[in-house]
Amino acid sequence: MNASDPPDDIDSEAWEAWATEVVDGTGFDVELGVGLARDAQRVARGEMTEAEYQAKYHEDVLDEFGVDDRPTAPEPQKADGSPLPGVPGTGNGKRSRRSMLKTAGAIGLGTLGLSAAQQSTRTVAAQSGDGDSESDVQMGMAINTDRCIACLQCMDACNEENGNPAESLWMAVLRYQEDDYTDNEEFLTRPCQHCSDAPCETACPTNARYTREEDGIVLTDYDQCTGCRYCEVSCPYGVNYMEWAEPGGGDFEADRDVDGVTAAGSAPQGTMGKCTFCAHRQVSDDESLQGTTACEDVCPVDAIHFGDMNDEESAPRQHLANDTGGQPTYRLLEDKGTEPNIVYVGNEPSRTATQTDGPTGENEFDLVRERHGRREIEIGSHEDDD
Amino acid sequence: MSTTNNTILTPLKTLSVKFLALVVVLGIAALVMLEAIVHQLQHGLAVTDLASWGTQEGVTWGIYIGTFEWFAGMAVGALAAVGYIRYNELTRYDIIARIGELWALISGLSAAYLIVIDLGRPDRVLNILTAWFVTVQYSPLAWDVTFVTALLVMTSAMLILSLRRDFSEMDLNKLPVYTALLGELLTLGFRPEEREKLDSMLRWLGLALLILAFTGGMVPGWLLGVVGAQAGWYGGIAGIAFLSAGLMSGVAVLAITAGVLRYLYGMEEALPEEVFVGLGKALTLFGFVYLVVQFNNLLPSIFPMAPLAESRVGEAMLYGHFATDFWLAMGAVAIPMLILAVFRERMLAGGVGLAVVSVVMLWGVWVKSQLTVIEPLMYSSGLPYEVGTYVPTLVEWVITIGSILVAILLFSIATKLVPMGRLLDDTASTEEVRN
Repeated sequence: MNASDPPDDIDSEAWEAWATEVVDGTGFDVELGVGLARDAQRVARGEMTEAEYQAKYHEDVLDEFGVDDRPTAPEPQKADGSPLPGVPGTGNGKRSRRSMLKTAGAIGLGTLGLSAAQQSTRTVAAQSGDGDSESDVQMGMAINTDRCIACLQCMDACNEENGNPAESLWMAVLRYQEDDYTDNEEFLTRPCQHCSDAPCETACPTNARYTREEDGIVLTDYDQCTGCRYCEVSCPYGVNYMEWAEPGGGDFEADRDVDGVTAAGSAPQGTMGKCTFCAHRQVSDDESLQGTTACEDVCPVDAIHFGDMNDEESAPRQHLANDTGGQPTYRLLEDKGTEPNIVYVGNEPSRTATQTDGPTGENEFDLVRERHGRREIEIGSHEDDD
Repeated sequence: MSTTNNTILTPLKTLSVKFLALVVVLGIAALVMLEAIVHQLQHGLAVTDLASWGTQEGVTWGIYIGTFEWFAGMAVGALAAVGYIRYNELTRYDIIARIGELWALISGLSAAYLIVIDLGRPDRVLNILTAWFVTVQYSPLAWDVTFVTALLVMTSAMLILSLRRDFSEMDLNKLPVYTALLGELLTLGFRPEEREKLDSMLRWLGLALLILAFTGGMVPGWLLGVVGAQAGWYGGIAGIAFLSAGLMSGVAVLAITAGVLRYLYGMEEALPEEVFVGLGKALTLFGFVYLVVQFNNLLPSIFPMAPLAESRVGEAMLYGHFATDFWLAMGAVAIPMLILAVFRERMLAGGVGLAVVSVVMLWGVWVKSQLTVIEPLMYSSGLPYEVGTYVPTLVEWVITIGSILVAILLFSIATKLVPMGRLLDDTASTEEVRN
């Protein structure tokens, strides 16, 4: 009988025989494997909750494999209860789907018999809307560049909120023109894209760059970062800002701590900073701050919409569903395979687009870069370099 | 084989005023560099002209990383040369192997040191090691740490084992006291029956070095080659391009050192002309391969079917902003290579001519290393950013040039501590050598 062709009825003898044959070939505990597979089907059908499923087999899986690395298994902890060090996308010890794939080899049977069933479990949970799994939340933005007027208030608000110096533009509004015989000036509002497959995490040699498991925000552990800047060269969007000098910006007043990791607010000297989706707000005790960012709050034309991209009711999803005004939507440099979590409404800049001069508010907001020894660069200035 | 090559001990046994003056000058250079490092540690990387690519319109990696690539290549090249000589037991090139062992070690250390200098938080460099067990699965920088460590360990092993053999053939009483001490330490517990085993170990370790050079030796190239975000770095030839530069610069640094040693210490017997002919041939071949690979890497980017981002990088290199530097660098390799090919006999007599062209070729590779690192960051692709600028500051120049001078200083001191090769005179061991 073909392994890819199991009988439908999981209580039938034919199914039992099929499952036994498949599991037997792996050399692992047959009874456990068959039980796992059968109950996984039950979870998929909604007859059993994931929590029950995990609890039922946790001990046996540990006994058999020495590790229980299933996606919703209880979190492994050190003896003192602190999270174990993890791999990228794991949120400091928490697992992502990617890390699960990496360690899947250790629990080959799980992927053989169960991955399909578990995949359908997730889909069911997502469809029924009762996503109790933390990884179902993916914060992101819908940014309507068609509405953007390049007032630069988002940039100013971002730097003020996070205590960044003027030259570290975690949020930047690029002013550009297409070479299409029109004088139309367009704007690109560019925060970090908080990619699901972030190249900066793969590049990081110290695991400082990570995805927060609760909401998919990509953060930097300022206590781990060595300032090698490999994340910066690997990012196609240019959103990383090394703090070359002692950050001379305003004070960051909120707590820098995000789940026990120093990751919010401006980066200390010698480490890498970038947009955190105002992580300090997301973990704030003040509920009115959760689900908001400084740039979104301040935007006078309601171009920025921040929220859970997996929730149909969220601000970005609602904007994409109802308010695009017939404008096209796109993700930035999607061909780079980074799976960005910002969806733009408006025209995508072409690869031949060039930055333009123009009346900008950078002087008003003091958004100029001055560093001893380097020439001053004004945002949006167009200098002929060659 | 010459019946005597006692001259290999000349550097050990002499201590001229000129040498002391050289050490003093290089020592002062090292102190100046130390001051620059302290300055950079105090004020952070703000004292460099490095800036984020994108809205800061700069390059985030500059001459520290460019020189790292250059030193790493030199280490790989020296490693390959040592491996080839030891594996094939080319006794005549024994001095070259010793020079190579020392240079592979020194350039490997220099490369590692420049990476630390380039970190925003050099005090946290150990974080890279503590995270290694996880990051080695995916981070090219962790692969690089692995490779450089393997290079340092295997080169040290080769140096120690070959010195053990060489010291065992010498009368330690005739050596300066510190060298004799080192000799006694390295020949601790040596028994004559060990010789055969030692020869065999050197031979197979040589093969291991060769394999390491041609496999792991490509990792510093891949450090750039896997970065999909940077046109001009990304591509399948990055490892080969790095290796070809490394082989050439590795042989060049050996040729320079051999030429200088022969000139200064009159080591005509220990370093016969055939050795320079061999090095010259290798340099001609590797120079040619280097040029072929570099242009193979670059030319596809300027054809009309190339992606826009890549063509911007290629055009800037071939006839744009960087054209002068690029063509000077290529000329610095091509012209010496042609001279070597055409006027071989005249060029190689005495080794001085070979040393001079090797310096020029090394300079060319250094310049190209800088362009390779800097240019894609300056001509960023994808989003409408401005073209960046980068003019290294005095601190960057002092630290970079200082790192090269310190490498020379380390080698100079090494020539006074360890013999440059084995003694092949009519002593009792000669018979064993021939067997």
